[in-house]
Amino acid sequence: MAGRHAPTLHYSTLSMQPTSQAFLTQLSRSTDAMEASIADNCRFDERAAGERWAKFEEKLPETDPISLDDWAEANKLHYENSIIVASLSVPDTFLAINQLAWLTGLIDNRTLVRLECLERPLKASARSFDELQDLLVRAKAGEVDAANSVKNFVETWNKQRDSRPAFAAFYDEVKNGADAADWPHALRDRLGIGHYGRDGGAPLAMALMRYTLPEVLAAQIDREVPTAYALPTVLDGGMHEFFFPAPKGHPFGATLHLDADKADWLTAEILHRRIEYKPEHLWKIGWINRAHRVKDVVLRESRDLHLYALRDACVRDDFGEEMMGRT
Amino acid sequence: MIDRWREAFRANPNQAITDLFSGRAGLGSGLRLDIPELLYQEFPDTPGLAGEREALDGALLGWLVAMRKDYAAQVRRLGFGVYSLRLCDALSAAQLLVLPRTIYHIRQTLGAWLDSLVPLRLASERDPALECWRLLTLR
Repeated sequence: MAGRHAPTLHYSTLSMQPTSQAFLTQLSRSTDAMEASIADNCRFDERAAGERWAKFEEKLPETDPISLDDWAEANKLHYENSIIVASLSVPDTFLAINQLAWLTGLIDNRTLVRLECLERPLKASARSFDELQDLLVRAKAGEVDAANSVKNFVETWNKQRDSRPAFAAFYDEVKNGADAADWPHALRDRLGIGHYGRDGGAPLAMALMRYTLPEVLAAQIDREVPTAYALPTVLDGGMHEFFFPAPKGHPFGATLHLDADKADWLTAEILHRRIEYKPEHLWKIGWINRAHRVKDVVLRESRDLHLYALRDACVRDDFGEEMMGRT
Repeated sequence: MIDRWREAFRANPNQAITDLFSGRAGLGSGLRLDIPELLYQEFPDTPGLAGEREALDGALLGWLVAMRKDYAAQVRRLGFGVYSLRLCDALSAAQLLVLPRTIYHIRQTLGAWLDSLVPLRLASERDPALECWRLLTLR
């Protein structure tokens, strides 16, 4: 493992405006682990092109210094304008502006899995979780009426979905979690999806979706989009403490496990183009009803463990900067 | 930062909702969910949160009314697509949480709302008028 690095400017930041550079450098020294994590994600990301950062910076006010509120507001506006675009549009993730992060050569028949929150589709279909569960069981048993109802549910859901890039993992890699009885929490933790589950909060109905790479590729061909897959960057929804950019040379994104002891597991994640869900993609449904425990010191330790694993995997001792002991 | 936002909400619900939609509520995992799901998770329908849900209902309605009143300036600032998205998010949140005051207001003034919302349709999932109708199907 490498020694500590000085708080120098990192990769993405080199193309930024001086005010942005100063803001991120200062934020990376924050005593708040989450704030420092967000700064690090911006500083360490080697795949977000200068043109993408320039587009982000257009949303910032012309003030000096930039505040965290300014940065957060710009992030939301950029995300809404360029990433979670309407269903007939293409997010920047899959356009030429993001060519540095395109993922090519994924031509095998691997299966993908993805967690989805079901609260809005259930409300739009006027279905309860239990009703949908019952329909899925009966549809699987061959009942035609139930199968038609599941089909209607999925069609209504598709009409509610925008064109945002979909984070997904490879089933063969996360099989233990996906096949576990408590798959919602197992996958939530394995894939670093820390925003699901809140102490004292409402339980969230979740779906585990399962489909293949060729199905994603078919959606790309249908819509004549330049690419179907990309590697996740901080500008694709990674402005939070459980995202960690992978260095150039790493074949995929790498999720940050929410079990601190497993933060050095580098589980592959990719982004892919929107596909129309079909009933057979809706594998199973369940609940997320408890929070994870990664924050403060545990967050710093987890991110450092993850960083060391990335450095080892890519033979890149110069990548990133440890959080522990940072001044 | 979600905990900070909850504190801000208790102190000033209207400002907290404005900040949530603008993005100035902050960054981080707790604020990463889309606004309807975020509010749904944060404000479960429990007796202990009845007061906060009532405050949320009032603040969300106030935000919607202000956005409609300030249509031209908001569209100029945000762009048509983001303006439409944010209205959809607010109306979807009112559906998920079944907020009675917002539902009552929309029902009483539906014609005026539809006049302004119908032209904002960008796609089936970016259709504030459709979200209005969905809201009115709730009891």
